[in-house]
Amino acid sequence: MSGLVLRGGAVVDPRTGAVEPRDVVVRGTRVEALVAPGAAAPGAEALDVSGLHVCPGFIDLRGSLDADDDRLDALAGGFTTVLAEGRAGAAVPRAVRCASLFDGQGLGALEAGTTVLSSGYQAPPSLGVLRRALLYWRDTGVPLLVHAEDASLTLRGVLGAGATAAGLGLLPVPEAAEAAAVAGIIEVLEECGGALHLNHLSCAGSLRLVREAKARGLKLTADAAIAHACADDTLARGYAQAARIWPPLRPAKHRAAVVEALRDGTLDAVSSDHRPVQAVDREHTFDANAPGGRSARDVFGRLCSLGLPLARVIALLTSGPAAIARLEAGALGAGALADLTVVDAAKGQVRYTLVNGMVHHRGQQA
Amino acid sequence: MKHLLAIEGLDRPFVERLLDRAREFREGRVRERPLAGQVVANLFFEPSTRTRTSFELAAAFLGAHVLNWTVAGSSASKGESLLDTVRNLAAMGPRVLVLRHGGSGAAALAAAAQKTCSVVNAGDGQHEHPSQALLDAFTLRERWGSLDGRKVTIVGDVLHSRVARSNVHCLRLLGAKVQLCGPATLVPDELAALGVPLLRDLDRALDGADAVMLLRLQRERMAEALFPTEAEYHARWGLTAGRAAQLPRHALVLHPGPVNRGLEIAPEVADGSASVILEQVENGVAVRKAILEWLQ
Repeated sequence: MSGLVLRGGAVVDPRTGAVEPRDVVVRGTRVEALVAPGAAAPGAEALDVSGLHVCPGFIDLRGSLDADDDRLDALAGGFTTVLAEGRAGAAVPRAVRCASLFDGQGLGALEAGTTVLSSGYQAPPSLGVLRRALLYWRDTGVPLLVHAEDASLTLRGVLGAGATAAGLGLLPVPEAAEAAAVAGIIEVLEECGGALHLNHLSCAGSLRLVREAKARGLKLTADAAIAHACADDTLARGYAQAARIWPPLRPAKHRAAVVEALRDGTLDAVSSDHRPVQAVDREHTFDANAPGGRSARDVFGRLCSLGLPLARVIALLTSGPAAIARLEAGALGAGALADLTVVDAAKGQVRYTLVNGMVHHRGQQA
Repeated sequence: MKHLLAIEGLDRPFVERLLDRAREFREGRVRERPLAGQVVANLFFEPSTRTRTSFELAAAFLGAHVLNWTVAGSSASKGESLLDTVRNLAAMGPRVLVLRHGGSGAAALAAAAQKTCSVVNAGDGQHEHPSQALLDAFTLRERWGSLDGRKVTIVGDVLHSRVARSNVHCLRLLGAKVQLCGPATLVPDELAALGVPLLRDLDRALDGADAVMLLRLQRERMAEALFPTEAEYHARWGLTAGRAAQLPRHALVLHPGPVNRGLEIAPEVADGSASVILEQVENGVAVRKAILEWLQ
């Protein structure tokens, strides 16, 4: 099988944070070797990546691959693996299918082709059912991804409680709708043991609780959606539909808490929460429209704008989510999957996305 | 294309001109029929008696043909989107759409969705109800001459009230001092962002008030655990006869209607000499004439 060499780039190892000039030799679907610049054997096809960073392919903990547009958005965003609900689609990007963690008031089951249980955007039916899910799956190694929300606190709210919601007359969602649920989940986890992941945390109180729980040694992980790191409730001014997402956007201090938690490791991953909505779901009023949006394409660029070290940015998109979902992907070394994302870190752009050693996306050079 | 979507963002001279013109209508000094041959469409996604009727009378007076479109039996009950409904109705050629909808931002959405009709917000969710605030301001201005320095206390379910939001903006624009009063379930702390004091004691909030505006409290809010019982609410936050007697002699009592007698206001206070509730209704027609005329 013919090879491919990515020449002239710097390789980012998200596990160690090391960034070193290396040529990446790909053979078939695997990385054969990382070699000193120019040391690759001649003959292989070369891809000039000088001035760029070569990273493990990005992993999205919550995306969508339902339509071709979604797959193209994911690849353009550098995602080579996407955790998504629904039917299996095309092979690229690599789809990790999630089954539903809950089924009404009962437990959901892994279905054929699924390896992860996630409650997506749905709150657990109760802490009791969450506890039973945790105990049932505890010794199986199946990743459990939970959306933390107390619906009795959300009520009909659509935007984080604060000045913007008050002024727009949008019903507010108190911080406790998430944080109180996180507190309850942590207590259950502490008693039952096992491991749990919290989906898209969005407020300061939740992050404080997770930080403390991790310090106590709980096997708890958490991610944030890119929106909560980059926007606050003021995006909703004028009822801008871009702000109609879930969890809701909140006042600026919560955004700052998310960024700090990305920096200090309280958060392990960043997800896109790419969640296409039908056109008709932008034709009602803000509260009546379904939450969601197309967000996979610019996750890397937006994450770069936060001033985090590059190795941390890459870890949040690779090794972090790989550990949560227990995937082989997310590392870069001899023998690793040749799922690679090549970025221009200075410009915050994804330049190449390779899955199984094949280039599936070439970004426009700005 | 002119629209009236909210009080927030209007300037004082504009509002004063509109209220001056409303007075001319009120006094019967206007004979023109500027809307002759035109269609005003009332588009009500929520039930309304006085607002819809008031706009209908105003439009008819100005010579317009009025089209009443309500949600019952319409396509909206079959799942048509708000924008679809607006575009379809706009295609029939009305000059003005008077829109009432349960979602905040509905009027702005309707205004942006088409290019042929002026949109009047007749209440969008919990956001604004500008014509109500204008008629309230008109009522107070007719009584007082000016609102400058006057103290107005708004009491009750501000969280769910478009009337309260519009009044906060309108009364302050005209120089009044506004304060909000109610329990924190109905007057959440974040409402301080509107730039007005939040008071948690009704007797203090009424002290020295030149006017008190009660908001309608929907009885369903009790099932949502936003207040314990009607008796408790009335005793603590209602304008009882005893409280009304403590008001300054010149103080006025307003309510946008419909009134829950015995809940937010005692019946004898609603019907008492300080009450201007029926004046509000009467003035509503004149104010809406001025609004519809301005849109031309």
